[in-house]
Amino acid sequence: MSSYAIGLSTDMAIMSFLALAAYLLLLVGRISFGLQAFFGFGAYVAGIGSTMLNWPFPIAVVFAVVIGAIVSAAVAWPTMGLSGLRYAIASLAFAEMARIALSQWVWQVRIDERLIGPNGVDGFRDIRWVLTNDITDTQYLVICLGALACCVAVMWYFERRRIGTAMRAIGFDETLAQHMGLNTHHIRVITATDAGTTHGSEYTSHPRHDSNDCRRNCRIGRRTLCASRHLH
Amino acid sequence: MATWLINATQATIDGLIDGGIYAWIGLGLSLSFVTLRRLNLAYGATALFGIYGGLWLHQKWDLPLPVLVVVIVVITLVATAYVEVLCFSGRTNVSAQSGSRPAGEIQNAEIVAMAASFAIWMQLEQVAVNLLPRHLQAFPSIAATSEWAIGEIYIRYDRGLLAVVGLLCCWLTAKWLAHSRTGLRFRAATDHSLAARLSGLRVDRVQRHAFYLAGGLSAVAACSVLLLDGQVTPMFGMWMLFKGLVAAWLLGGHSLGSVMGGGLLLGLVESYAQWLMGAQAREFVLYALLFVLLVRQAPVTRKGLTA
Repeated sequence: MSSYAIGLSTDMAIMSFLALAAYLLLLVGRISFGLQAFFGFGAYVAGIGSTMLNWPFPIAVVFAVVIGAIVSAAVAWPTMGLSGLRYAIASLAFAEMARIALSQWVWQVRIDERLIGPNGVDGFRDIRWVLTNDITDTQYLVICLGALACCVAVMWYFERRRIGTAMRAIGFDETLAQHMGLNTHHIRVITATDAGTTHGSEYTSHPRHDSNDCRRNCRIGRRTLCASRHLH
Repeated sequence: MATWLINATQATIDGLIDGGIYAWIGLGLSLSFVTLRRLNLAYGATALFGIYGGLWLHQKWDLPLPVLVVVIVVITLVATAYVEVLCFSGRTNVSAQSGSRPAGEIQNAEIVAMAASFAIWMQLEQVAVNLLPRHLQAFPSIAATSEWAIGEIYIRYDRGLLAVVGLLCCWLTAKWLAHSRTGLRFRAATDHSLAARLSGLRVDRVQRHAFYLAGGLSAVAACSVLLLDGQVTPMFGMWMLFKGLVAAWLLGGHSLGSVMGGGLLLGLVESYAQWLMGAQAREFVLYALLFVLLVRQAPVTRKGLTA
């Protein structure tokens, strides 16, 4: 396999994570334009854990997942009662708030004669976990595909359980789902938390995060939506 | 006069001037949203596309300023038609038939149209950037080089004039909608689309015309802002969309009067945020305000669904 094909496959695997997160929300009838915010939070948190605090990689990933889930739940709780259109705009506004907040954040420490950490509008550069641990491109692709396979398996399992049916029922007709006794708000918040979890974890093993650029955020959002529509 | 009082007065005047411009920007967005019941996320991008297209032609043939403005409006209208055909055409009849369709389906139609316009936003923005790749583009400027000074307070009279024109434009549009026959058609198609259809009104055509009118208004508002700024970046489309959204929704967005009030209030809030917390806080406050406004509507939506 050529290095180009490996790089492309890796990007496809990462984008698949993004699409899965958007797909979860589509199941409950919501489109979010703010998923890139959780992507950014996950990247920053994993970067801080693995590079600045020298945590083992799995712990940094778990930390990113937990933070992604907490932020996602905190945003979903007040917004999931909104109609689809208003929810989409609220999520976009939240993503922009997150972008501005992260672009103001400067916290750098000196590691190996190099300043590392969030650096305002320049983002969070020099996250070199892959390089310092001599992970080859192929190994990195295997890590991404493995994580993706786990994620798909978990989603596949839950989609065939009661919670999956409830999610689809809410996406099909919310009023009908309420009449069936489903707590639509709670199920939507749980779904958004799951989506935040997926987003929090997806980019953590990438060697370089510059996740604080507006145009890039929009591009990520667009790719997420396009891919998830195909899945739906 | 105490320094804080001078600063507060300056912030108020600057805020009101900016607010008048925001109201103008919000006018087009509000018009298309109220008429179609669909949110056009490509609202700012169509204006941006028109501006970049016009600037590209201006750089090639050195167009005179009035011709440049006309070219920008025409290109924006073409882009608006493109958005309308791809995202909204054929989907606007749902509200007229809502009696026989489930709520979920209507909401899905709204979301599909909005998501489609989001994709077109990205597409138009990318085409504009490919046309003129440099981040910052010069735009012909007619900004005044001096300011009015009243004691220690300074007023940029060119921007003040623009704000007055913007508010006047909102007011005239409101009057036109309230008193003209075309305005009556617009209101009928918006408020009672099924009744309007049954009485022989071509609702889809009226909605299309309102959409084009909104596109034209956005182009004129964008040109006016840039004629004073003298420069444009690809972020301008997003700036227009968000300012328009907040201005239109800040006071409910149920009438053009509320759009004018919303624009002025937004200008004041931003101006005070900048004075008290700096330039970055100004942007943050804009999005925070939009977020809080929407969240405040959440319980109402839930109640409505339960009812």
